[in-house]
Amino acid sequence: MKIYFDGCSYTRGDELDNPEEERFSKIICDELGAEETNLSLSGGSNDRIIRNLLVENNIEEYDYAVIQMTFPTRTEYWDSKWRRINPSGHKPLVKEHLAGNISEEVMCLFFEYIDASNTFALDSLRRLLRGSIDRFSTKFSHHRDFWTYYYTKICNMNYFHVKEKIHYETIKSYCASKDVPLILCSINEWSKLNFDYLMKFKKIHRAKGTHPNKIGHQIIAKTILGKM
Amino acid sequence: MKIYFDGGSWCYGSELLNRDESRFSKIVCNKLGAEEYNISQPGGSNAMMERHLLVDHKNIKEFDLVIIQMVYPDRNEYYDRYKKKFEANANFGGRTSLVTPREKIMVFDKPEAIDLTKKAWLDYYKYIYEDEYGLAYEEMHATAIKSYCKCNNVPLILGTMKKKKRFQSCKTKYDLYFNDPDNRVPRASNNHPNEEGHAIHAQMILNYIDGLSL
Repeated sequence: MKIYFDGCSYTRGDELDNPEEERFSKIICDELGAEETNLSLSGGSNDRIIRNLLVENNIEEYDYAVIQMTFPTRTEYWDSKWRRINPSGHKPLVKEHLAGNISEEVMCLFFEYIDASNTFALDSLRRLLRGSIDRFSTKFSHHRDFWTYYYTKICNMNYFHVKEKIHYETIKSYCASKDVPLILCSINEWSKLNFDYLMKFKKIHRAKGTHPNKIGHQIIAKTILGKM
Repeated sequence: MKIYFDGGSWCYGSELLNRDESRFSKIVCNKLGAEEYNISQPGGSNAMMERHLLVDHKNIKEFDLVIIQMVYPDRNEYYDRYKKKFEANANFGGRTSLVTPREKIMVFDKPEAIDLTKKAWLDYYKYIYEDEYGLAYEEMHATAIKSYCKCNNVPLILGTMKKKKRFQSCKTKYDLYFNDPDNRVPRASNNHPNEEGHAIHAQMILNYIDGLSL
């Protein structure tokens, strides 16, 4: 039995001491005696998840797919290789927000605030305001103006909701068309969609940042196994 | 019988004097005694067609056949917060879309004539968009459309505006190539098919439908 996993840092097992042994994909596969294929990437986007599923891999080689969708604000583009775009940590967006050009609702989604216990996002914002981080300044200097404009003027909540719905329908219909059973999860608590599993955790099941800790991964594995 | 059509300006019937009567979707439907449902838009993108199908239509099963004419991969769309609707992201493609976007900008770059949002998209094509991106995302849109129709048991004819010979190595396979140089149809002054061109495209589709067991 082979199981296909994709997602972002949650599925990759960020903040675990030994992610390849402790993440939920490994626990599920050990329980079922299955072979694990985990393609997740920290900071990865739903666009990337769809590209992996529809273009880069052959899902028919797998007996099951477990896909964890992420925040719809993220995207990707090609520049010699596929590059991630994640508005969280982009200082000019804070300035635009303070100038009234980005609503608080959208800003919270940009910074991936899940709730008040999301210390990672709060810490990220504090460091941003101190001037100690600005992802776009360092990584996307030559594209900075476009992405600032894109997230300030072009993107909005409606766009993200529609884009997420397209991705949701695409994943579900693609797996159904290939007769591959799917568990579709998400970490986006802002979503209006009906996922098989929306990953929500108490603070004690999180690591220092926003990611699930070892017990958090065991909870995810148990929940998904229950649905399989 | 009810047929769903989507596409860009060719499917819309741009430049036809009596678009609602002489575009290929109408001719096909008249021939089959079917009800025409055509939601194509000039300048429309593949992303728009995927959105129309997967999100805007709650029940695609009400249709007996879906016919989609996909367009050039460099087109895209965004949600205009002021107009409160999706808009094409400034169509810098079109006739020269087979050259790289950076070359296209040499032809179309007139910043003084366009608004700030269009300037941003111009920057997108100058600095960010690459054909690798466009081709991968075209395949994603095509595959999403195919699988959505397949799992809803609705027959699909997926066509394209791309020229077959230029893209023989592409993974994405289409049922019909409407813009193939070997089968060039008569055009109006701005390069859209004229009445005769639409009649030829309608016959192409009807011939293809004949081969399907609908």
